[in-house]
Amino acid sequence: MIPAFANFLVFVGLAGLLGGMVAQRRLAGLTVPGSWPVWACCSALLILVGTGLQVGTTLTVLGFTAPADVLDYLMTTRPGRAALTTLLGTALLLAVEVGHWPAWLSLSVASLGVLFTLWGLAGQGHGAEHGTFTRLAHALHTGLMALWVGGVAALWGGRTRDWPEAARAFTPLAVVCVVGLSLSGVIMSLEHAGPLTHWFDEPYDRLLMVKLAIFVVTLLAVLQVRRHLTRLAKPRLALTLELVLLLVVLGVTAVLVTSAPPSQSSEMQQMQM
Amino acid sequence: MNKLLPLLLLGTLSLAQAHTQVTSITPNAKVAVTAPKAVLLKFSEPIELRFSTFRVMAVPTGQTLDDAAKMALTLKVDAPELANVPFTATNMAARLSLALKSGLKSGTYVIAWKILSDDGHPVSGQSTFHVK
Repeated sequence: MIPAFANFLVFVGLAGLLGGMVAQRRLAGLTVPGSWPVWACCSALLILVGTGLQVGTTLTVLGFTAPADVLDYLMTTRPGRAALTTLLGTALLLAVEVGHWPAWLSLSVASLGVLFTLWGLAGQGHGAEHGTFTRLAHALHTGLMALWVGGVAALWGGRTRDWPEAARAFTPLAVVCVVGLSLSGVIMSLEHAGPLTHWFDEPYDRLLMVKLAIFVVTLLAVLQVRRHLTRLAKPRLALTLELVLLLVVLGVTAVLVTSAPPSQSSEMQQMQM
Repeated sequence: MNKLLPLLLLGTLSLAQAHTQVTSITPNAKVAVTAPKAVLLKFSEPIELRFSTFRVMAVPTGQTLDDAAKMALTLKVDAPELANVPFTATNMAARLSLALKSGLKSGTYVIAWKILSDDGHPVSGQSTFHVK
């Protein structure tokens, strides 16, 4: 379960960093406890800890824990390089958040940071195994998930003078996220679980269906939040429900990332560690 | 063309494989053989040998295969209990020939491995062969 927990930390950190970054700019006047730089630092720390835990767990299980092994893993293996790329992108995003740079420079570095972070994350699991197109789908899926979860978390935990305006400003972004997540999710499911008729065959497939079911329930929770767009008070209960459901989706995704997709069985006794 | 594009995109997808697996091993577990000089392993995709461990060991009397495999993987690369010649490699490979010590005694041998799957997940496994 440690690898799944590590992935969960990374996903939550990315949601905080990337989603918070966009929410801060799109939802003018929204403030979060502490400040936005503190929010970004905490998020980046989660990504760092999660990535470190992933690399550390893998190397410990394999029995290669010397400093030279860690360096070799990070520099010469595909998952290692992907982890480094993720951290590089995270560092760029953090620099944008805590630095006071001209707008053009912030935008350029942030774009680079987003590309590096998402491309790195997409290269650490099943996304890396099936070519550029699938890896792009994984990167897109991860990015949209982070935008949605981070935006909802900022709305839930942040303060705004005008709740309806902030919620309305977030709605188009959330719609884009839902549509994009659905499309990229279908592509990834076809890739990893095969045709629709096979989507209940293996434990991986069934977990995928659980994720889909929770996603649908989350959409119902979103509708509940939308009913409050005309009211002045923030719908704390409905927002909490949406956020909790989104975190559950992140948790299931983290388990999926570390699970083996279905394939033909082998005569040898083999197991994931 | 608009209708064809999604089909073209889906056509580029192939059914995913699970984590990297050992797909075949020689000698075969079902046949007793005269003392082999090497064990040949083939993988479902190239693996990083730098982060992989392979051990061959005679199964001690009274021990299960699982326990023997676990024990073999904890032994040092040059441990006298091992039936394979010390092996180190840093390249990527889809097949591996693991040289064995000469004159293996008759009995059951376990082949145990820990490999780094291409998606970054560690995978362990074991197989056996019998020497006449």
